[in-house]
Amino acid sequence: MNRKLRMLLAAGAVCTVAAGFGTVAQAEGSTFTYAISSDPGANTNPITSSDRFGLMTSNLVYSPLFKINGTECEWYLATGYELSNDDRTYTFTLRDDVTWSDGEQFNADDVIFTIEQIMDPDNASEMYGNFVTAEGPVEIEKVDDFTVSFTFPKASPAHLEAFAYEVYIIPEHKFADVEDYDTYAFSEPTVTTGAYIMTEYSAGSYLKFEKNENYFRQEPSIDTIVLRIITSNDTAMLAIQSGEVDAWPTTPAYLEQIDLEASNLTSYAFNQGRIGYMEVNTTKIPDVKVRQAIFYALNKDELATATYLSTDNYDNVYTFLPPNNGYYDDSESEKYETDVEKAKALLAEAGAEGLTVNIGYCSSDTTQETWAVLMQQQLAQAGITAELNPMESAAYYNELENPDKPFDLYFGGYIMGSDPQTYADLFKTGSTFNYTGNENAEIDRLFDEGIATFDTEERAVIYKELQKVIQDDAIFYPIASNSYIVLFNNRVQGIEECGLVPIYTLGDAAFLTLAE
Amino acid sequence: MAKYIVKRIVTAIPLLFAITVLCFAMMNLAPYDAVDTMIKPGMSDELVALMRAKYGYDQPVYVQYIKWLQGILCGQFGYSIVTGQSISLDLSVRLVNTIKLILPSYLSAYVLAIVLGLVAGSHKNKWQDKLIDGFASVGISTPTFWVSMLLLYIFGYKLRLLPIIGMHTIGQEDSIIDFLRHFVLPYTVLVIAFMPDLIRYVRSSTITQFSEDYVMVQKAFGASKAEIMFRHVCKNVLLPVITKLGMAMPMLITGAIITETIFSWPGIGPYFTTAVDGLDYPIVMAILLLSSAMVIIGNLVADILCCLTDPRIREMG
Repeated sequence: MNRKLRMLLAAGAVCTVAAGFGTVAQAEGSTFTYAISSDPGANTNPITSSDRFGLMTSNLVYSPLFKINGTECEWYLATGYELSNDDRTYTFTLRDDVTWSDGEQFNADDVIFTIEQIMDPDNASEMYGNFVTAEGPVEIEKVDDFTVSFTFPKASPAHLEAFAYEVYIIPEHKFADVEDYDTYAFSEPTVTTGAYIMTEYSAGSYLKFEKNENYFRQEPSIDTIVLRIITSNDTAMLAIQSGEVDAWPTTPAYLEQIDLEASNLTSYAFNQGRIGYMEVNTTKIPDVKVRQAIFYALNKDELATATYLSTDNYDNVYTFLPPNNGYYDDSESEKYETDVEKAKALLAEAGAEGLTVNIGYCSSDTTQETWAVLMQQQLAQAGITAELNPMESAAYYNELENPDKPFDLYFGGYIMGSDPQTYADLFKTGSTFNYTGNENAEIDRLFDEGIATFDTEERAVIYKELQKVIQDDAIFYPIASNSYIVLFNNRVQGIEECGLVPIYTLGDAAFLTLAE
Repeated sequence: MAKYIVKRIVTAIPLLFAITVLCFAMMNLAPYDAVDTMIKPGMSDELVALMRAKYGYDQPVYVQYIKWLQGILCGQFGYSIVTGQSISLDLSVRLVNTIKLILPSYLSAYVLAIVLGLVAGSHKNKWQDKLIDGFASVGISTPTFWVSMLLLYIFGYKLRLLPIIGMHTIGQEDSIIDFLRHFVLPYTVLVIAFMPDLIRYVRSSTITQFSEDYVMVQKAFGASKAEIMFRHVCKNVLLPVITKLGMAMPMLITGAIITETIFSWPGIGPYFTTAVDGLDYPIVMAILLLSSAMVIIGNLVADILCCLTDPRIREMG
């Protein structure tokens, strides 16, 4: 008995000591934990990353020349630019007071190196087409250590955005020997000009970043940022409520289930320039009257509210541009307010009473599924019978490119750039991404005219007309511009200074602070 | 015996090869591939062609397969198409994590199941049997994701006793207590998931043994219940159960996919399902290869164990 008691006490002592050791190794300094839903991998780099969280990492760790905010330029590594008389050459002046986190000076060589990597066909970078245009590649000239000029073969106001769209400058002295950007091994802290340095990667678990004290904009307040990988949304919902993570991007459906006040959370919804839409396959429905009839039968408010719950979470949109775009103008566009009688009349005029349509949607996307089912009901009121045709995700998006696809109506969502030219491929005749199959010479002409001038007022007139023409064709039915919603724990502050932006979410994390 | 083992291994290799060919063929039957999941509007046809060439998709299927096979034979599992990470690196981390979770859970479930199964079998139709069999039925019917969420909700959120995410708290990777705190809930879920099947197997095996002639003989000799159980019945019951151990080896790789996803446990599960969704065939092929190899090895181990433990089989072959 004595012996057993002694052994029990000894075991107890060992446990307490072990527990003691367990609690000693606390993380020093302040830590901000952000939940992400997929693993971007350790070798995220601005040349080949194209997933949301890989881009988020690039934004934390590297800096661009500038960022576009609405219509203004927010300058980062560059201080300004000049456009040549023929509008083809952009000359950027760079900051001369920036050092990489390993002490090397940042200069024009790094910028030239980055753009050259993007233009290298072996890298198959997403931004390749922005610098190797249909008319030919950009010519790069190093004017001096802090001035670089880029000459495009053909002038276009859309070229400026090429420099701000996912172009983060990488250090030439670190990457010069890298042969394959996709597969180089991450093994040490990254060399950066960004607010944070990536110091650790644990496969499937997290990415860890430490602050860059020499960040040229301002020294970050939070010492450590952790991007925590949580693949299950239900688990993430529990984690944000228990405080195990400080921020989590979520959807209205989850938001409804959470008591924000009790969990000490605040929800931030911001317009991310996205449009959730329905499009019509013009190969199967060539009569514009029938298409317009379909649009008049639908009820946009009902569709938007069903999936996004309240206007806190979305903005109304009536053209192919999102409402936060500088050129958005629906003043002349047909809004297709619900009018079932008009729909029936148009169908009768076109001799298409008793129409049956095939609605395609992605089976794993609950938003699209809700819209499909609702549309089926709404169309029935105008005498249109709709069959639902769900498809598995990869199969569905692949099928959209097929000109012989079985769908009459189908769903999608997009976020494009700030310049309306970035939407051209979606609507021009014969383009691979023009899934509607629509052929309208006027649309093609207006897109071309839009980039023939640099004058913003002239362009505004052209794009207003373009938005009207596309809506008249009744090929694109925008349902809502849904906001990106992020839940933050109330201890996270400085969110407005940091800024919440599309895709990268955290604009400049150096401005975030933690209240203790 | 050694000859037998070698013969089995040698015949297994063509089988493995056939499995990989079949899997590769099936993955390529789909009219789309990993690059299709990466295309965005705005990408020129030229860029898409470049991407296809980069990952070898412009080659005919059999060329792609041969390239993959060559890599495997050199010990190179290749790189993920979606993230570019080295697969062998990822697997070495994730496999260890999965084994850390599954091995203890399965062994615990195994031992518990034997005990409970014997108890149930020897008290057939009495309250012990009804309780244990009832528990097994409930265990088989409840889905693991539901049990996981329930435990997480109660212990992680409502009571705030245990952590919700992952395998470690960041910064405390060396702490065993921290690991155990993260480990407890998924371990419980897996034990509840693995036990029922084994319990019922042991139970029915026990019942069969108790109805055998030798038990009646022992009762006639006046042996006590305990004596009959531990000296005679046990060995006969445990024989088929030991072979089950060998058959469970593939579970070391893919036995806890759902549980790992819910608990954000950085194991093979989420890695595999993400790869399948993204049509990331190098990862899918690598895991399939490992899994198939484990099935074959597991069966071999089961056969060997059988041979070793049962003298009747040893004498036969």
